[in-house]
Amino acid sequence: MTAMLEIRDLHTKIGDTAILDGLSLTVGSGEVHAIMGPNGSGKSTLAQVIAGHESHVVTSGTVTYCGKNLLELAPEERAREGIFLGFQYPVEIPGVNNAYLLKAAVNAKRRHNGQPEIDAFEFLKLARARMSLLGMDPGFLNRGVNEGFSGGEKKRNEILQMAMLEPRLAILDETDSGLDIDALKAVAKGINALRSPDRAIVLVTHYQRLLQYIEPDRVHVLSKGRILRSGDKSLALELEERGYDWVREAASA
Amino acid sequence: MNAPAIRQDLLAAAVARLPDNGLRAQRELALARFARQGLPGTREEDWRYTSLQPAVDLSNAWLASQPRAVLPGDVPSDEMPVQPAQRAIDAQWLRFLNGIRIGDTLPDPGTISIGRQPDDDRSLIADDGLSSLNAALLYDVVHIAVPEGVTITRPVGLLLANDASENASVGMTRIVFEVGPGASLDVVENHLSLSAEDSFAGVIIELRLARGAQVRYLRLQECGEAQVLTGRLQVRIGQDASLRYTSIDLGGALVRNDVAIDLVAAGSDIIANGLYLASGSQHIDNHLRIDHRVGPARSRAAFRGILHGRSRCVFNSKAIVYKGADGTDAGQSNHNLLLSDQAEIDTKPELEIHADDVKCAHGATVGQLDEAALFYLRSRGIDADAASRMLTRAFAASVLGDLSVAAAADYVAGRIDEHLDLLVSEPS
Repeated sequence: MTAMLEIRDLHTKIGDTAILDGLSLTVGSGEVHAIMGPNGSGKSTLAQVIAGHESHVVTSGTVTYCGKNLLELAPEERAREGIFLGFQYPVEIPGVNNAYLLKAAVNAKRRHNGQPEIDAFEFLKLARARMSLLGMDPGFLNRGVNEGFSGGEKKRNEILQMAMLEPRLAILDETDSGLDIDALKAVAKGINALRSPDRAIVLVTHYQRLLQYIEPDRVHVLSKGRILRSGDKSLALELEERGYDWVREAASA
Repeated sequence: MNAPAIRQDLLAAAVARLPDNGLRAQRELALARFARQGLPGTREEDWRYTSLQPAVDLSNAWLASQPRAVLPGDVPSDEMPVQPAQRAIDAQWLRFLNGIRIGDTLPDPGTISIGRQPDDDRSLIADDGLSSLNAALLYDVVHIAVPEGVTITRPVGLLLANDASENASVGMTRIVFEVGPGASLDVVENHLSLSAEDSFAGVIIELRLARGAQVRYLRLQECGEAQVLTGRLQVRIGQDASLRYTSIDLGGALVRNDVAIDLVAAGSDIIANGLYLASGSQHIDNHLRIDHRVGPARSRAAFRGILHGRSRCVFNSKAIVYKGADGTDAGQSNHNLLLSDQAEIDTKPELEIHADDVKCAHGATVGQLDEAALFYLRSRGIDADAASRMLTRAFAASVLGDLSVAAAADYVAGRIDEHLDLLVSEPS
């Protein structure tokens, strides 16, 4: 079986600062992986590099996605090929209507796949169904993208975009941060609804909290730009109990 | 630099050739004033960034060609083709060619009275070089009055066309609105050029709002790329009257738009917003001045600009709160998006406050497209060009959202979209 995402010995820098330092990771179809680690360990960098953010320079290593060299693709091409990044800090874009962006995104992907554009009726029906699953008011469709949204509303909006775009690989960067318990449950419900054998999900998170609601197949601990330890879901519980220092000490021992 | 000069002898000769239709005395008065005033030069603070040299050159060349007098029989009639704004906006259009109202009849004059400015009205503004030059060269003055308590539902459209193909390279327009107590009116002022030749148009519009009058006013400037245009809107706002003003600049080579709003009684409410799009070597200068003589009253000025190429724009907005004008609430803002590093904006929102109990705020920003927003859109599958277009449109959207004349919203949105497409596709 070929992996959906295969990262080998990845080194990156931003400006003159090295961030990822020999990171390797393999994610298979149907799997849910959690990337955990302390602040500054490179978790968000990993998410951004996969999505194609141009401020990160890959100095060596490879990233292969469905057999393709991902690093050659522009961010929009990656998105159309089925990669979705859920942002830690979703951007507010006043003046761009939420429904307009959702529809443009869905259609960009459909055109790429040689499918006809979605018609207005079908789009609204689909969007309303997805919003109801996430406990979102349909009124959000007519607002500016994330404009004046609360932290929880922004994260729900990210999951709504994911649900509409139906990615093959979703990277969710700290989707749980800043959420109260109700929002966390709603977001987890949305993510779980998208679990499927032909989709992979990578959860980047600081805390184990989200993993109580979304059970990962694999858990990785990232520190100083590389993966120090991997395990099953019990690793997350152990981390919660013993802290990140435990992994770092174990690794340097 | 010295103030640019128009040759007074040639100007006097041109004024003498104009028909004796009742305005002669006022023209002579304005000519004499102009001799003293001259046109403002770049040493004057209000003209620091905008040189009228191109207007002077065009005027002198035109005057030297000894333009003949326009006689009543020369006034163009209905042959001017219907223009895009006329087709798109349901309004009662008054059409002007090079400053002269052409012989269209109003489809539905209703209760508006439209006529010549009364000859005994000596109140024509001639208080600076530009307004005196305008008054000296006027063929006539159109006076539009809305009686007390009347609501005009269909906007009055002013189509101000310039055609320099037959040496008519200078045209002056003067229009006076008198809006009665409690009356309500929408106005669309549309500037355009019918020929590609260089020409200079000077337009002065006076707007007098009586007590409780409500006016929604749209200025839509779509001139050609060889047009020099100076415009002035002089507004007098009575008690409890309100003005919603929007200015949209899309064309022109050198454009100056002066808006002066005089609040002479309490309770008035002004919202003035605007958008200017500039590319190539366009120069667009918007100057606002709001005189809060009495409080309480509210004024808001919010303009946005999108600049590309080597264009240069100027924004200056000054609210003056007079001594004793307590309860004044004045706000001014100007935001600019620079799509090219060779474009230039000089922006100055100003407040001058002489009263104690006031609420005032001002601010200006100049920036590029937000990189974080661009990446966000691209990560959703939108290509880089489309993402830039989306963000540029979004920047303009707040002005469209507050457009003063609702009947023009679709047309204006379409024209802005077309211009933004051209602007964004231009290499920076």
